[in-house]
Amino acid sequence: MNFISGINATSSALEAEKIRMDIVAENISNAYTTKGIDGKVYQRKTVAFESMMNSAGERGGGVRISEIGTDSTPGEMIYNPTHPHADKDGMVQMPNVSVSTEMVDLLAASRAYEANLAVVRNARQMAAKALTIGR
Amino acid sequence: MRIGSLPIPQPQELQQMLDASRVGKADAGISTAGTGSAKPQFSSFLESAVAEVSDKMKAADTEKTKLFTGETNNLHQAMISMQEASVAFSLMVEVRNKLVESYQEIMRMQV
Repeated sequence: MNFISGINATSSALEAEKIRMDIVAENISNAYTTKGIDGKVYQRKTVAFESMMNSAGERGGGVRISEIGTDSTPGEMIYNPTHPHADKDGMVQMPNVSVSTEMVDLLAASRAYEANLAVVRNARQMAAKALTIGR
Repeated sequence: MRIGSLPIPQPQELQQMLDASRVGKADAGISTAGTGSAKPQFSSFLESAVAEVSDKMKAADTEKTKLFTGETNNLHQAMISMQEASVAFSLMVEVRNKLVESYQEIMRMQV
C-alpha cells in the first residue's frame, strides 16, 4: 500500500541529484589538484542520468545515475617554475575544472533537488487533505 | 504530526485493545466469529490495516537507524518513510474515530 503517490520515482530522483551534487563537490574541491591518485592532473567528472525500470518492468519508474564519466579536454598550462609539479620548462598542467561552470551545475542540482522535494511535500499534502474528507 | 512524541496509542497497543474488545464480546456471548466464516470480517480487515501501519513505522524506524548509524546517508529516504508512516497512522486514526463515532451513535439510540 502506497499512500503517497509517485514517491518512489521522486525518491530515486533525490538520490540521483544528491550524487550529482557530490560529483560537483568533488570537482570544485579538486579545481587546483595538479596530481591525482594516478599521478596525473585531475580531470573533471560528469554524470549522466538514465530512467529506471519500475516494478512492472517498464521504463519510467524513476531515475538513476547511468555513469560517471571524465571530461578529457586538456586544462590550461600555466608557467610557474616554482610549482612542485612543474615540468622541465616550468609549465604546470592545471585541471580542466572551471569553478564557475561547477557553480552553475551546483545551482541546477540544488534547484532540481528542491523541485523533487516540492513534489514530496505536495503529494503528502494531497494525502493529508484526502484524510479530511467528511470532517 | 510527529511520530513518537505524541501520547497517542501505538499500533501494538491498538492491536491489544482490539484483541481485548474481541475477547469481551466472546465472553458476553455475542460471538461474531462463528457466523459465516467465509466472509472476511471487518475486524480482520482492521487488523491487517493496523499491521500495515505498524510495518510502515518499523520501516521508518529502520531507515532512521540506518541513517544514524551511518549505514546510509539517505536523509530524504528516512524523511519520506517517516512521512509515509505518518500518513498511514493518520488514516488509521481516522478509521478509528469513525468507528468510535458510529458506536456512540448507536449507544445514543432511543429504545
